[in-house]
Amino acid sequence: MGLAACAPNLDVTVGPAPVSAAPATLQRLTSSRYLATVQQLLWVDGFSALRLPSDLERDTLLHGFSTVGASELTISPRAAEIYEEAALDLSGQLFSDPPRRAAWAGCEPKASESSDECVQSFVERIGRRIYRRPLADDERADYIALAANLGRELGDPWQGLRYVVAAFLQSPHFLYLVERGEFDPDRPDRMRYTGYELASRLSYFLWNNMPDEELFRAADSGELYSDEGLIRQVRRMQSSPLAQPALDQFFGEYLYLDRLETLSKDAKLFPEWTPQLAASLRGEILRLMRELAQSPEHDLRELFDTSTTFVNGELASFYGLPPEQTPPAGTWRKVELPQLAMPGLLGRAGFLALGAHATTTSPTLRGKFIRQQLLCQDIPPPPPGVVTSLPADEMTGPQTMRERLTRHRTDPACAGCHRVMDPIGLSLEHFGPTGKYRADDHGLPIDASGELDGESFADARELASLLRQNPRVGRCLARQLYRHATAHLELPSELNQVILIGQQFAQRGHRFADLVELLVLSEGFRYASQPEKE
Amino acid sequence: MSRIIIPRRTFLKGLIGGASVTLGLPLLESMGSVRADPRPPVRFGVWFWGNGIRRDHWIPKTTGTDWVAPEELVPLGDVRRYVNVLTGLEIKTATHAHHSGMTGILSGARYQQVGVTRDTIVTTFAQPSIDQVAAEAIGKQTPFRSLELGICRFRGTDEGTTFQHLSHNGPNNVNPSEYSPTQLFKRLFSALPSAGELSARRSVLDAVRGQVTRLRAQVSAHDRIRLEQHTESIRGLEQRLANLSQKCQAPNRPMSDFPDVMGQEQIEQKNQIMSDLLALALSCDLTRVFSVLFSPAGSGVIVWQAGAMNGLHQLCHEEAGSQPTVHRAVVFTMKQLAYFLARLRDTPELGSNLLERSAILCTTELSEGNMHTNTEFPILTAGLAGGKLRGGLHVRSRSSGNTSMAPLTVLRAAGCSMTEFGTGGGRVDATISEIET
Repeated sequence: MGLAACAPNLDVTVGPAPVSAAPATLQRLTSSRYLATVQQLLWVDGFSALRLPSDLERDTLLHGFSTVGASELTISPRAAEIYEEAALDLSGQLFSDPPRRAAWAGCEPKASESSDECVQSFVERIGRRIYRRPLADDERADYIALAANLGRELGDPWQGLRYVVAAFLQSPHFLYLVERGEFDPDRPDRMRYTGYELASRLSYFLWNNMPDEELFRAADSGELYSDEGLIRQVRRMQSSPLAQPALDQFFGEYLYLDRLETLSKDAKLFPEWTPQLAASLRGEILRLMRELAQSPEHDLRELFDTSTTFVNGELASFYGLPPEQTPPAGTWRKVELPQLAMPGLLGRAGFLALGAHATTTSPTLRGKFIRQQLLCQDIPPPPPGVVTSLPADEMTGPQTMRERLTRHRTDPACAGCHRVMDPIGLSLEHFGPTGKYRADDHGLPIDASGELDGESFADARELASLLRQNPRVGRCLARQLYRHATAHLELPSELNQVILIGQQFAQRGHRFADLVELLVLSEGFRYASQPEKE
Repeated sequence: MSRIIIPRRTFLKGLIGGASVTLGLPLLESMGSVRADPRPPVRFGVWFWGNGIRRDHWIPKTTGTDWVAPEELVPLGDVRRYVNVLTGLEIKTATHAHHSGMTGILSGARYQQVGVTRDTIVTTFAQPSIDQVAAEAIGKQTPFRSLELGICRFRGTDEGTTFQHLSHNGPNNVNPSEYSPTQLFKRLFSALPSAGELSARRSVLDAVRGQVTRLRAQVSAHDRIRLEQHTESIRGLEQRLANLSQKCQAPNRPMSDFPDVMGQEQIEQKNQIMSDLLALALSCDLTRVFSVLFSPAGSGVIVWQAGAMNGLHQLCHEEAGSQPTVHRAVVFTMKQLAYFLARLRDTPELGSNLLERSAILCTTELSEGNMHTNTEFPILTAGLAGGKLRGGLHVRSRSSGNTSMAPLTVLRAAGCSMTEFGTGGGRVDATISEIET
């Protein structure tokens, strides 16, 4: 396998090829969206939160994102069973508490007849929130009939409503973001997403949750068809505290932070590595990303050199901070740490620990992450039949990691790809498997110099500064966010559009808020291709 | 309606979650359906572990019944007369060892790629996995069409459903494994719903099914297929409600889900309780089809019990020499399989036992992890399928036979009537006759 197989592939020049949006797709609610949505839907002021289902199907990430998985995976028999159980459990909790159900329903269902006004208004009001659009007449009639029939059968109109809620929570219009699009009067060759579909697209992208009343209003008024209407909502939503779960969702998946949960380190070598520490390190990077993404003054590329970070009590002691910089238990504090051995994301222990095994660092994994996630350069897996074992330590005596990996860079079977990954990762060898600084490697001096696509660097700080100047970084982030937001791997016909978004993001100073706006205004977010003819 | 006559006082003594319990076993009593054949059904199962074996310690030197067990097969000594060792077979659709091996052995087909990038490939099963093939044939009369269990936790890699799940109904249509003993217990042994609740749930499912059907007419071809599968899933749920019955008394609730202790996964404890619960579910006829995903393809499980400090996949890539730690991890894994099989053997059933009445394919996704090869594929069968399979044999293919013969043999032994299995290079119409009676 030669270098060509590992060559970058985001250097496509923007040509005149027409942009054509992807077809509309049913996207399942991811588990975090499902949970946030039912919590919001079933919340009653003045009552405790309902017990949320704990056994939802775990999301399957495809191409890095749970949203992409959600556009591909179907609802299997097991998934249908889980959804049914959750719907019965949630509706059961809600309706077994008379004051709570009365407050939530807003009226008292009386007769088990379709003409009961309470049932009618209930179905209409709740249905709009659950379907994220007004119900059609026949849909409303079906639910009202279901309530009446079951109320009669069970001898209790409240039970009729309870099972209507159970039905709502299993409806495909609830479990999927149903996006079909509608005729676009401006461009008959494509479909535009409806106002309500756009409201849900915005809401799950920017809040990871269902739309609020203001979005419903905007959807209903047609404002979301215009650039101005979209921008108004995007700005409102981005500056809301509700934006945080969505940022965490994206950066958690994009930066692999969610993998920290199951990351183990050798307990004998690293007794300090605990699930609590791993969670704190995840929290640190998420807070750093929130800060860079939400404060308008930040260029997102500061993630390569910022000396700002966030600490809780545990991390304050991890960084050896004095008591006056240590926040009270259970809280976080933003701190400036000019003394950091390595500023920015590449120096954060959470990132470094992810790029390491249980006993050793992995320059390959660290390098691969930078290539793949930050520069969007794909690295194929090792070819079949290649022996991937490294020479035994006992044959050679103590070695640095650089020496151990010599074969990666000299054996032609490995070098094609490893030459692209290992030299970058080796620059971070001053940071051990849990991300802690170390002066040497097995008592041997560490050579942190290397080369990134023809430009040499002396150490990790210089690498970070090369990355900050690398034009691919902005384009790559744009591509990753596009995949996450539109829930699919971009089609070849969309690639130019994705590159353009990245270029404009760069021109405007790499502000995350601009990237979000550019993405929302793009063809791929607002329009779908015509469905194929039968 | 005929009823099966069984001894009224059949008791299963066993350990559930470490506590000794005695269970009433009204086996098949409430089956309700007309069965002329009084013999208990044959159960079908898959037991899968990730990252292969070490050939030097896996392949017996001689064939037939008198083989000396190599180290990695020693743990199965106690159940040896129920187990066949199949060697020398190879995946004929191999292009990427982990992905091809997983889909090849479990579906007889090449994987289906999901979205083309040049990165680490992302795949799913193109065809249903064999547990679902079996469920279609023999899983419809029980409360659970099939059960899917997982033991070692999934450690997030992002290579598609092939790497995350075992049981597939089709592409990107997975039956996720249950990893939590307490959730599995709840699922198996919850109290039956009242007649009113059951009827209301049926009405609700009927309404939902109608919505899915109407929506199907309004979406893309890609989504139409997904919604058809959703409809199937709801039908399956409706069928389940029709089959609900209280077939056995619940054992004690598991005390915990066995969280890590000092960062170490409690694999043996989890395997034991999941094996116990599964044996009970099978003996109560809650299901006739199961899969155990002991660890997924390319698993990063840290088998600290084998002295491993790093994830198994990484060890396979990097451990030097003859990979002694990987070898010990395989031995450990076979001990866990042996526990499960012994549990089945020790569950009596009408003068026989569960293992005798099961047909189980035990396998992994490649031969040796450091070579990434799909030749010399590791396969065991366990259980005598009610007399349709022999046991205790080592059968070696001299002509690099097609691995698909193994699933076909086991499926047929479990009562599936197909005469061929697999697609493309994975298609076969021959079984491994040496292990058939």
